[in-house]
Formats: sequence, C-alpha cells, structure tokens
Amino acid sequence: MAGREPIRNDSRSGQIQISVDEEIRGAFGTIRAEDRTPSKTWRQRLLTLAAIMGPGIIVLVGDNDAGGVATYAQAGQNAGYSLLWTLILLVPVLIVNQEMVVRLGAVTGVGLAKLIAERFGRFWGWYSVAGLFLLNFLVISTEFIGVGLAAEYFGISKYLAVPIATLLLIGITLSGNFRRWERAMFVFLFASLLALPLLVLSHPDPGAALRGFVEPGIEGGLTSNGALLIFAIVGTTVAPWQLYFQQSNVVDKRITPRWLEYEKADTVLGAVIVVIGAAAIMMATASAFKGTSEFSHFTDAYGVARGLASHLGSSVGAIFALLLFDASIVGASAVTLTTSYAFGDVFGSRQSLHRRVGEAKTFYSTYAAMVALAASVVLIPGVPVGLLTTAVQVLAGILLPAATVFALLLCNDAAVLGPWVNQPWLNVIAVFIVGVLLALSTILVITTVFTTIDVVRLALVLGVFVVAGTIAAGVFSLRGLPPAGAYMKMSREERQNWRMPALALLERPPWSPVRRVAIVALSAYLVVAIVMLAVKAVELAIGS
Amino acid sequence: MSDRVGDGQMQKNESAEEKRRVTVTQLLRSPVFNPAGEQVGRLEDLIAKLADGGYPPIKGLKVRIAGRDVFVGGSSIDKLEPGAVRLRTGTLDTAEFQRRPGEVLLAADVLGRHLMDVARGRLVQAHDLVLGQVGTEWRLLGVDRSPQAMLRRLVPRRARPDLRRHVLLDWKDVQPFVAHVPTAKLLVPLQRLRRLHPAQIADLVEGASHEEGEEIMDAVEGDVELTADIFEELDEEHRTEFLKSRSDEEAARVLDRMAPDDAADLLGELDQERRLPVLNMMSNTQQLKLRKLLQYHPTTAGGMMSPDYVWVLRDATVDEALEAIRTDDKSPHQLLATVFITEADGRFVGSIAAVDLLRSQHGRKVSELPLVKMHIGAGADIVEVTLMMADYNLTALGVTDGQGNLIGAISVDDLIQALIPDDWRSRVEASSGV
Repeated sequence: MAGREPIRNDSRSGQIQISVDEEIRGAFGTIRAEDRTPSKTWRQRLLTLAAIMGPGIIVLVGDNDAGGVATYAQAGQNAGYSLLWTLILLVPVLIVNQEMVVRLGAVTGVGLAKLIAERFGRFWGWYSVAGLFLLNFLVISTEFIGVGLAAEYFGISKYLAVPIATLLLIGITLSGNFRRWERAMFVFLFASLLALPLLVLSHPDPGAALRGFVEPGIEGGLTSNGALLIFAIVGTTVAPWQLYFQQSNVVDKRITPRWLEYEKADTVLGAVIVVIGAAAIMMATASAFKGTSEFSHFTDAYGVARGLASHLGSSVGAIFALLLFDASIVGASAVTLTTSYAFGDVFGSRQSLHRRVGEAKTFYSTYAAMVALAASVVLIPGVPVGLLTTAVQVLAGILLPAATVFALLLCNDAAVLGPWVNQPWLNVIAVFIVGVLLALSTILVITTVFTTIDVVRLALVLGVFVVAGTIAAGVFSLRGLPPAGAYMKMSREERQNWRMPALALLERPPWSPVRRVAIVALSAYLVVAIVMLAVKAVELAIGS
Repeated sequence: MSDRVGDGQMQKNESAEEKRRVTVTQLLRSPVFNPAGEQVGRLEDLIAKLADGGYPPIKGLKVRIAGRDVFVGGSSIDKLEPGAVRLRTGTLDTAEFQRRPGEVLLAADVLGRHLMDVARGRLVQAHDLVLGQVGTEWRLLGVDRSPQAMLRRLVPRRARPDLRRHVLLDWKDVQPFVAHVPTAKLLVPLQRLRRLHPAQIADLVEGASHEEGEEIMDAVEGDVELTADIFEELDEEHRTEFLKSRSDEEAARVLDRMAPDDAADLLGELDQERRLPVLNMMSNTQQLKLRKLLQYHPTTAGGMMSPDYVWVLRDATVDEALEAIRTDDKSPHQLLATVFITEADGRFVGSIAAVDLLRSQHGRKVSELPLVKMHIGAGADIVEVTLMMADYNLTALGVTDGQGNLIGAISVDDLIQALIPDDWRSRVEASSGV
C-alpha cells in the first residue's frame, strides 16, 4: 500500500463544531448553509434552481405533442386570435394540478400510481395504470400520425418515416438506459423553441392578439363546434400522464420538501413556456389564415403546414413541419417514460424501463409489440385518423378526472403529507379546477356519443354543478376541520424535514366521509362514461 | 480452488485416460450395437444417479429400439466410445423406459442447463458433460462450460471437433438444479451450498431463473439464519419476489433474523394486507425496532439507520469503550468499528473510531479524546447523509432526534448499497455471466 491519507480527524471533526442545524450539505454540492437563511442572493437562487430544474419543464413542455400542435393550429386557423385567452386561463390550472403532485412526490418519495394503490386499494391502482398504458399507446399512435404528416411535408413517404421513428423509439427503449433517454428529451425540448421564429416570421397583428388574450369570446359566437374547440385545447394541454410523470420524476430526482419552492418555480416556468409555445402557434396560424379562403376550414397539420408555406413563405411551412415532428417525438418519449414509471410503481421495479431487456422480457416484448402496433395502425391506408384522435380524447377524459381526484384526495391525507396537506384556500381552488376538468371531460365523452347534443346548454348545466360543488367545498374547509392541528405548530425547519413515515403505508386508511363521497362520485362518472362508450361502440358496429 | 488446479488433476495421464473418457454429445443419437456387432437401436439418453454424492454413476441407457424407448442397465454397457455404444448382452429387456426416483437423464435434465459452481459461487452452463470409466463403472466426471462446447452442439455429429482434452469443471464442484426433473424427488443438498458465502449464494439466486432461485431458497430454508443472511444480500427485486412467495409465518421468521433497517424496507414491499399480520408475528424486540424505524421515510436518515450501535456514556474510559465493542452482540458488523458517546439522558456527545481507541491510553476518558461531533437529524435525506459522511470521512454517522438524542447510526455500507448506479450492476452481471 503506497502511503495513506494523513489523519485529518483532529482539525476537521475534533474542533470544528458544526451541526446540521448550522450547515446543510445540500444536494448537488453547490448549495451551502446560507441558502436556507432568508438572505439569499439571486445568483445562489438561480444556481439552485438550475440544479433542481427539470421535471416541471419536461412534463409541461413535453405536453406540446403532435395532438397539441395540431389543436393549437386548428384554433388559430378556425378562430383566429379569439381563443388566446383560454391559454392564459390554463396557466393556473396547470400550476395547481402539477403543484399537487410535486408536493406528493417530494414528501412521500413514492409515485402517484403506487400511492393510489396503497391508499385506495389495488383496484384503483390497477385501474390507473391499465388506463394509462392504453391511453399512452393511443397517444403514441397520434404521435406517429404527426411524424407521418411532417415527413409528408418534406416529401418523404410516411411508409419510410414512421417505421424509422418506430425503430428509433423501440431501439432507445431497448437500450435500457433511462438517463440517456431523459437527457435526449432536453434536446427535443430545446428544439421546440422553434415556435418563436415561427411567431416572428408570421407577423401577427399585435392589436388583435392582445384583444384575443384579454377578451374571452370566440370568433363567430359560441357554437357547439366552438365549445368543443375550447375543450380540445384544455384537453390536450391538461393531460393525465403529466400528473404521473412529474410525481415520479420528482421522486427520481430526489427532490425533497426543502427544494419544493424551486421545483414549484420550475413548474410555473414550464407552465408559462408551454403556454407561450401554444400561443405562438395559434398566433402564427391566425395571422396566416385570417382573411383567406382556408380560414375556419382546418383539415390537418399537413394542411396547416402547406397553408403557412403558401401564405407566409416556404421557410415558415418548414418550421411548422419541423415543430410538428419535434413535438411528435417529445410526446412519444414522454408517454413512454410515464408508462415505464407507472409500471415500476405498481409491479415493482422489475417491470420497467430501468431494467435491461433480459431482466424484463415480458415488459419489453409487450412494449415493442404495442409500439409496432401503434405505428402499423397509422400506416394502414385509409385508417380513420379522426376515430383515433377521438379515442385518445375520450380515454383521456376517463382517466384525467380519476388522476386529479386522487391527487386532490391524497393532498388532504394527513398521514401521507403531514404538514404539507392542502391549505383550505388551495382546496377550494383545487376543487373548482378539478370540477371544471370533470365537467369538460363529461362533455367530451357525452358529445362523442351524442353528436347532436347542445354543448352550450350542457356546459351551463354542468357549470352550475361545479360552482355548487366548489361552494360546498369552500364551506366545508372554511368551517374549520383543521386537517392537521399538530402540524400547524411546526417550525419551518421541522416542516422542511418532514417526510412521509413508512408507517403510513403499513395499512390502508379508514374511509372518511369525504373520501367515500369522492370515490362514489368518481365511480359513478366512470360507469356513465363507460356505458356511453359501449353504446357508441354498438352504434358503430351496427352502422358499419 | 482455482480453475488450473482442478483441471490439472483431471488432465493427468491424458492419453491413457482419454480413451476412457467420452462426452455426452459424442454419444447421443449414436448407434447401439449388440455383441454380434449388429445395430439394435440409437442412444437417446443416459441415466445417472445423483443421490449418493461423488461422481454419479451411469445407471443405464435410454435406447430407442424399433420406435420404443427401452431401458438398458448400466451393467450391460461394454464400451462407450464417440459415435458408438457397444453392449455386453444380446438379450434386452424390452420393458418401456420409466423414470425412477433419484435418477436424472443427462441429456434431458442436465445438458445445456444452468449448474451451480459451488466452489466459486457462480452459475455455469453445462454445454457438455464428460463421462469416464472408473473401474468397471462409467461415471459423470465433469462439465465442459466452454463456448466451443456450445458451438460444437450445433455442428453435425460427424463433423464435431473432439473436445475431450478440453478444460473441465470437476463434478465435485458442481451442483445441478434438479427440481425440474419429474419423479426424481431430489433436493439441492444444503451442505453443498454451505461452502459459499451468503453473498455468493445471493449472487447465484440473482443470476438464476426464478425457478432455479426458488430451488436454492428451498434448499437453505431449513437454516433460518442463513436464509436471513442471503435475504440481506439479495437485491430488492429478488428479496421481494422470494418473500412474497412465503407464508406469513415464514416471512416473519426471516424478517426477524434480518437487520432491522433491511427488514423495515422489505416489510414495505409486501402486499399491504400482509404487512401488519407479518409484523405482528415477529418477536417483540424486532417489532419494537421496526416500529421505531417505520416512523421515518425509508430514504431518510431515520429510515436507513440501525437502531443498534455500540455506545458508552461520556465519562467512560477507553478500556470500557473497547469492552463495549467486544461484548456487543446486536449491532451490525459494519457499525462495530465506531463507538458512540452520549450523555446519561441519551443526548449525543460524539463518536470515535475503534482504531483511535486502540491507539489511546487505556485509562483516559473518552470525552477527552478528539471526538467526531458530526451527527444528523432523522429527517435528513440520503443526499445530505452521503455528503456529510464523504466530506468528513466518516464510516458511521450518528442519527439524532429533534432534541439531540442519539436514536440510531448509519454505516457507510448502507449508503453504498443505495448509491450504486443501476448500470454498475448490469456491468458486473454481464461480465461474470454464464
């Protein structure tokens, strides 16, 4: 043995009396004690944010997938600047939803699917994962459609582009290197900044755009189609997989309550960026099609690219096609990761992307088969693309309320979140938002079945329910019901160190009245939705 | 024992012995001749008796004669040579072949499958089996695990290279998996596995298929202590897998013998309905320790710590501290190298390495020595624990509650386990694979 390190004991640990209360050996080594005192410099804060940043940006920007790009373009082409205000309203919705799962992830250190299974029983855990799995593969199908359309614009056959994209997706997954996959995401996210040059080159009308942002309304008045377009924007922006993904990603990055503020900032940043991207696409298409014969005649993303090229120049069309391609890849990767996370949660880490192929043969073969299937569906000539998109929307409609309701209930579970449970005011806002999402999902499901229904009237009826529910929740929370009296007395320091004890998952909690009501309502909604879909399926079968 | 030594013994008197050695793949599908030199059938398989230890004797042949599988007793074998089997007797019992307890078919049950190398603690694949004549009897001498032997099986029989001089693995060092053999009623003898360290057995289980792993775990089941040791060494997935397949009583018994922090983690991996029943079946002391740990999140200092550690009060002498190490019988091995010093009311004072105690004067008070004052709150997460231990070169770190009372200790070993990147394991598994 060649020499050894001098004993440093005497100087380092003998005399220096440092205890944890004074110095934090923070994550990533760059965060020092000063960081926890109120007087932080902006530089330190930014460095910390840079170290923590990731989950929020990835999940929210990743949300601008092929479906998203197509929907925003549709809104721009069909309604001009008049729907920009919906995007502004989506910011708080996204933030409230995602903030709940961020908190759940940081405090419990467990993924959402697992938490649902542990606190509400295996049935709901399975339901969440099975639904997510199915939905994600339908989503991948739509992403392949996006790839096909983008390739078509550049004159490449989709019979070449889609198989290559399929092999790419399966190949990267089979390599089993999860980290590399995640890093690649950032490259694609960066590419989605293409929305900005798109905006600049399309020379939008600033006055009209500003009016669109602040003035709720829709070009040509509120019709069924207009209402559906609004719901589609909401539906494509607030997706169920985001909740599962961000919670698991937060756990994976070992973000603990101490870093919650930074992770929330990350989430807010992501929400703002996604809305900027969406607005850019909407404004560009609005500017291009306003006053042309194609206005309010949206066909598909390919049509949009062609239209942009003919009205604004070929470079704009090319940028849009590239954006569509990038969005498709981002979407496909994000849902892939989500599937993997959720499977790992419920079936143990053996069945997930973290494993090598040899160790999780069943998972990988199922996965590869389903991606290939999703791709081949797209390649069948004359496949009803519309049906696929509808299926995605409907399934998302069935899954999203479940995920948000569970997240909201878990955020009120004192055994799990301790001092981090929702504040009463946040509960009121969250109940309202979850109510709105539930109502929108219901409308989406109903309208796919009964295409002739008066959407505006239906929305009004459900809106009354949502408001009533919110008021009830408000009264219920404000009437007291201190969720965790003991936790309120905790110091900031104690709160920051509080994590869910392992004891909390030892057994299932007893059913409180609120829980029971929420679960019964959720089950009722699901039964109605599934019955209606069954009706629709029978209708289609008889019709064809 | 290294490869060289074992194989060297096998290879002495090569030329003489070579004539009396033959591999199973050389024999399979070979014609079987009666003493008159007429072909009576083809060799389908060889039957060996594993039960009595040593080199298993060949008890008979499974020969295909006129479309039927017929058993030919080992005593009827005159010669086994590459490409030909010669029998001593012309008259054959034409009874249909049947499996008998304790016997395995070498081609069907052993060839091409995993075997445990119990000398080196690894899995090997039996690409070929080597038989040799010992006295009048033919016996199974060893295993050829070389890739060439595997390739050889793919080549037509006549064109196969002769690999009888190839490096062999002595059968004495090998234990086949036998649970898949119907009617053999065999068990992997626990005695053979005892040659290995629990960590090596755990590696075997991790490398093997689920059924093979189950077979190993069944073999050690009689020894609860060893089972618990293996469980501690297994990776998370395999632990969970095997614990789940055990009854509540058995699971409780295994968890009882495990280190409390590992047991607490594993308990959480069980199905929710089983967790409380299993916990309640454990011994009272273990239950108490587990409940203490379960108050914390598994990835925090409180969840990772061991509630057992070596400690003395602040006015103890160096001798007393060393005596505390000697007499301690509960702390995990990794924590025996550090003595923690507390006030009479349990408040943490400091810690000191055993080496520093050994180098100090016997009669001195421990509180006069340069103590490590570092400790960490139970809520601290693994990142903080790791950075503190790395920055201050600690192998053990005291964990304190909100009042500064010492409630447990974390060893560097606990951290390493948690910090190993996934791909490191894959790397090692890939290179030491079969």
